[in-house]
Amino acid sequence: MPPDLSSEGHRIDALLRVSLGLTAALAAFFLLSLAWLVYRARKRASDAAPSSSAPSAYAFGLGLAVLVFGLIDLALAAGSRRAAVGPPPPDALRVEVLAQQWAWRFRYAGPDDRFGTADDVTTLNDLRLPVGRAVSMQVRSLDTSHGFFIPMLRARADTYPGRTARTWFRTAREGRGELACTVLCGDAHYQMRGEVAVLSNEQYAQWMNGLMEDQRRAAAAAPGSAPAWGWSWLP
Amino acid sequence: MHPADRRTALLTLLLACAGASLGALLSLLIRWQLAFPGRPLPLLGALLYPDHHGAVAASSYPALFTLHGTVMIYFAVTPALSALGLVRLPPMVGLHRPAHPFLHRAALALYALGFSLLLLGLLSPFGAPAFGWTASAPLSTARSPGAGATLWLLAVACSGLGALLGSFDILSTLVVARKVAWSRLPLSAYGHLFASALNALFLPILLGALALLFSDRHLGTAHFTHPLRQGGDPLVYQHLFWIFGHPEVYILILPVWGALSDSLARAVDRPPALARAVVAAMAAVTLLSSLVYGHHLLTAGLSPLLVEGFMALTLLISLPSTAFVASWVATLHGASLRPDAAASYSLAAVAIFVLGGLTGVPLALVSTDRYLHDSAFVVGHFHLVMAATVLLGLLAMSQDALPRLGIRAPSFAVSRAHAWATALGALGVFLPMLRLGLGGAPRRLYDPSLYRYLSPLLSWQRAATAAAALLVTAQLLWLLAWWRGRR
Repeated sequence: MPPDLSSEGHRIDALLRVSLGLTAALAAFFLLSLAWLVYRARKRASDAAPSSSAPSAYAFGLGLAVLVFGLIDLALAAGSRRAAVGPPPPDALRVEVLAQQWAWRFRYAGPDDRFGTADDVTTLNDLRLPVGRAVSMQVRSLDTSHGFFIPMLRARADTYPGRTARTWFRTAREGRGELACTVLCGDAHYQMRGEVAVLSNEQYAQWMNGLMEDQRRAAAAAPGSAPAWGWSWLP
Repeated sequence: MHPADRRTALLTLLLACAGASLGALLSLLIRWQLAFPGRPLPLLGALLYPDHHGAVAASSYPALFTLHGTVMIYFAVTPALSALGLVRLPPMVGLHRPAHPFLHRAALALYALGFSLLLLGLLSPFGAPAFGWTASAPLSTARSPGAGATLWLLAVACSGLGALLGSFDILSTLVVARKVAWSRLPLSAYGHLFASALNALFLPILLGALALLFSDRHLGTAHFTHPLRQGGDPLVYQHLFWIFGHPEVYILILPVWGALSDSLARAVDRPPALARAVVAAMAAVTLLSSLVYGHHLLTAGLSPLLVEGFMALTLLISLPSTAFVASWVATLHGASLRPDAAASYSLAAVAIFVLGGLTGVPLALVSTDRYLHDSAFVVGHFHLVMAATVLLGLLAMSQDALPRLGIRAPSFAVSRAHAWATALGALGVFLPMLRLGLGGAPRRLYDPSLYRYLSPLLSWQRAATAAAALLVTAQLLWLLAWWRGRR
């Protein structure tokens, strides 16, 4: 798996390891048993009389297998609930994402912490986040369905036109990653790629200030040229 | 066997073989592009992509996997099961002919019409449809202009209607015309019974969803379009499609499960162990199959309660599945095995099915699906079950079906080699896909090498592609087995 830059992703990774380990162990046990049974049955065909246990023994075996599998299912379902992240904390950094054929647009609320105001900061295919911070994202689509997926942050949100998808995570380590679209969205689906960076707080502030300065200058040169998308953050 | 039924079955099987061959060829094109992005295709490149120096064009890549999925499901496995049911079922229930043979004839006509419409779509101005075999709206409506996409809708509707008619024939043969007591029916018959019941219940939902898509494309409606603008909702299409789409998995595998049990039992010359538990498990799976579809939508933003409910139901399906495995193990336990070709295919299918079924567990869990959803892991999982297990199961079924059609039994030695080459080839293709998915590789990407984090995984793509070439080549052994058998 790609390196995990989030603080909650290890829970998903651990559950994945446990479920894959169980899967591998059960598969290995079954395949070895099958090979042994076939080997014995082939041998018996040439030199021994067939035998079989009472039907009740097989029924008991089946009951036992169902019980074991039921317990495994219960444990894994409980593990999945434990690994779930719950609702985002109120102090999370909020980012709006607009997906469209074939790009990702990001909107930060700016110094006033409100969306839809003149100080909003927008980027294209470039998501940068401060380290050690909860990040809450709302994702909408302009045209068809898209799949917002940042493997390095174990974050995913499939978005359908007219609906708002949500995801959140907490950044734990600095590093770079990529954003991919995982829902087929047309011919250039594969090019719907974004850069993701988790920066130190200083680097992030510097980048954000630079962006705000650029946007102020662009607005002064051509008033009304700010990208006209975004929505009031949904509670 | 009645000559008319024989002709219907033979032609339907031939159509299924044509579909499977086209599907296999498409899979090789997909595999080549994933392993060697942008490099010219050997042999076929200059013919298929003269404007792209023989390399697969980005704009045609989605059409490749759309057609691959469509032909494999609707025009290979579906007609093959229909034909094998027509051949194998009547003798099981003490009849010479099914109750309404004309329904199978009509089904054949519909499969052939559908397949022709699909191929006709390739010649239309905008070419083949490129929205995946699930045809998710609104990609498949306003954003897929051209006759090719409409012909795809009609083609799938033809296959669905054909399968529906075939299932009516099987249901009436089994329920009404049957001359053998329920308790004496082989498990294969139960497999066909439950699969046909699912067909009869859920194909109408697919046909309805396709009708609404058609209406959105051509009659100006907006059932699956932006809710804020026109009142529809794309998510409704997802529900409609997967209410059919998930039972479809069981429609394809239930007859295979039954056939595997029967052919293993025949090879050890005793009845299948735990047969009553297997029938009960088939009934339970049939019931659950329609209740678990929501696991295809675990990441679609449904309410957490609904999502956890679908997770619980999905995990629950592992319990009846245990009964099949227990039955196979108990049937072999203490037995003396005189393997025939059907048993070789069945043993290979059983091994791969267990592996494939178990890989569904991490996908059923809401938390791990958050990482694995729509990844290559999903593709590996369902191909192990629906491609490898079903193919081996169909081959096992064909061992007694084809001789009834007048084709002499195949060579056992070559069939056994074919069974193991197919099983190993399938593992070689689909296990690397599991690894790719764990590495975070999304499915359906034309060029994964554009992503830095996927570059180290290229060798797994190449391994899968090499195995795919072997898997397809190994199918020549099947022809060889029948040819050797004829002599």
